[in-house]
Amino acid sequence: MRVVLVIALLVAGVILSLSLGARAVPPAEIWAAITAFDPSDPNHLVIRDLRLPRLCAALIAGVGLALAGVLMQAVTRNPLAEPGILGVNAGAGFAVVLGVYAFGLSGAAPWLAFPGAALAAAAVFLLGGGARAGSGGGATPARLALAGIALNALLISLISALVLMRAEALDVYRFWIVGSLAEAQMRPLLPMAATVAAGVVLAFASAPGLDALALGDEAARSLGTRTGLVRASVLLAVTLLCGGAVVVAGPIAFLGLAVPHLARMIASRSVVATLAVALPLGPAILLAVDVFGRVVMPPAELRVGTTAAALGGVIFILIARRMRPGEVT
Amino acid sequence: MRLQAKGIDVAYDGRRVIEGLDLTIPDGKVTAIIGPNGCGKSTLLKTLARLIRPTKGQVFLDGQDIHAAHTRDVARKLGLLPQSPLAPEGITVADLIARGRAPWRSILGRWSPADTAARDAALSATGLEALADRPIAALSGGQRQRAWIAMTLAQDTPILLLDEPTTYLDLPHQVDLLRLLGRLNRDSGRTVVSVLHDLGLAARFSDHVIVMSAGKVLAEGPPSEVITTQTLATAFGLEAVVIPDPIANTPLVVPV
Repeated sequence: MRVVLVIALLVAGVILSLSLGARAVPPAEIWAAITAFDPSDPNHLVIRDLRLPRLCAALIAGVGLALAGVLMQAVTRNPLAEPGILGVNAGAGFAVVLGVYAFGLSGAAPWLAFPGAALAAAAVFLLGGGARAGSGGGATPARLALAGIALNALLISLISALVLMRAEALDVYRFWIVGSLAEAQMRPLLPMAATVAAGVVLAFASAPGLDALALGDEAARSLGTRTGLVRASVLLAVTLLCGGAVVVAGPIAFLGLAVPHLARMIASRSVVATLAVALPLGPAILLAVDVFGRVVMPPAELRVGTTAAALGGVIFILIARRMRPGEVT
Repeated sequence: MRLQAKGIDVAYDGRRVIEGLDLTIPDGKVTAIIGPNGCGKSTLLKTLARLIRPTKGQVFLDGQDIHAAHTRDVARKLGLLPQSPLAPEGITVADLIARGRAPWRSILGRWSPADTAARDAALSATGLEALADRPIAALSGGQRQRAWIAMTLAQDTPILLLDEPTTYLDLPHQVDLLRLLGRLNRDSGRTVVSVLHDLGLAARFSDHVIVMSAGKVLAEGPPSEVITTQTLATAFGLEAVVIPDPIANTPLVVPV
């Protein structure tokens, strides 16, 4: 029942996202613009050239960040883990910006997001004491979060340095620091959709292993789980999901934190169920946040990364307050 | 005999904990591993369960080197309850027990009627039916430990290893738990091996006792033959008199 509500929210978000904006387009015309495109109709042009790409980018980034958040919270057993806070998004963004600005790559640069995300994820895991993790010691939630926040701040400042050296449009800065859906039509949407789809498949395939891992490494292994293989496939899935999301929407933070918590309230505690709810919930919330940013103070618009961070900051505090003292050590 | 160790050396954190150990776990019996702190009991149990690879020698399960076997096949024959497993936040008793079915489920993780049957059997064997929908966090220590044992039971393995299952329980709950393990052994012929601290309880509720000292097996056999003034002095450095327990006639340790 509650899953139906999530899907209804997603459908509403899709319709609002296509129809609202500087030029409001009635829902009936949206359908016409898709099925019977008329290049002389400005409404049709807006839908086709701006809002459909924007919608697609929101779907890709929403799915990617939400599922990456579920996987990261499960694999680290840390309720504060998410690709924004732990610097994975910033790693992807930094690699792309470095490719463009330092090496002059243009077409190939987006693909650097994947090694960037993978390296940042591996680095934060090592810095957070993950390599020493047995069933007890090693990576505690607080240590991992602190390592991630530090890495994230470092990478974001490096991105700022690179972007600000060139006096180009402020939009570039907005995209790579805050995250934005406003220039979606310029992003390689199709390849990133395929990449995120591969990440989704891998995420669901890793879910039973993550359920076992939640009981501790020793229990997971005696239940026949190959823990190394599960961690490696999660790392690959997170890389594909975050890399794809960052290439189309920039390093949006907090969506990956909020969605898994909301999804667990809706679904049961198993990772598969959480992933299944997060799949429509991620893009639904990102679309809602984006629509809000577009209508709140017209004609200007708030970048989606700003609105998401404002919402997510509140949720971060609520989660941190709910955690029992023993959980953060 | 299904589970055996031959000439194993085991290092833990770079320190050699077990040296040249040979051991055969008797099938269909309740075995207790006892010994002073740091003698390598838990390390031995983890090595038998394939969690630690010996630096020398081999562990055999059904005649095959356990490290050459497929992870999942081992998990269908041998279950281990670790000393301090983690309960995911908010998980219920029934959900926790269901996770014990992991080695029997397909790639897609579909839940089968056999899974339901195994879960329900584990619930009734441990007397937890009425608490099935309670969160683990809301249970008492004794109930929680029974829930973890139920999870390992749902794994449906002929061999069950338990690492200090009675630690943190008060005496009545320790007795309750050891009686449960005895019942599981009698009802289904499961081989049960536990690391225990309490010598009296180990003597009372086991068919076979393995005494470890400094990474070696000092003595093994029926409790009345193994728990003697001599072994207690050698293994634990404990001066004690051993008298027959007035109820079960098993050895009772009275420190001097």
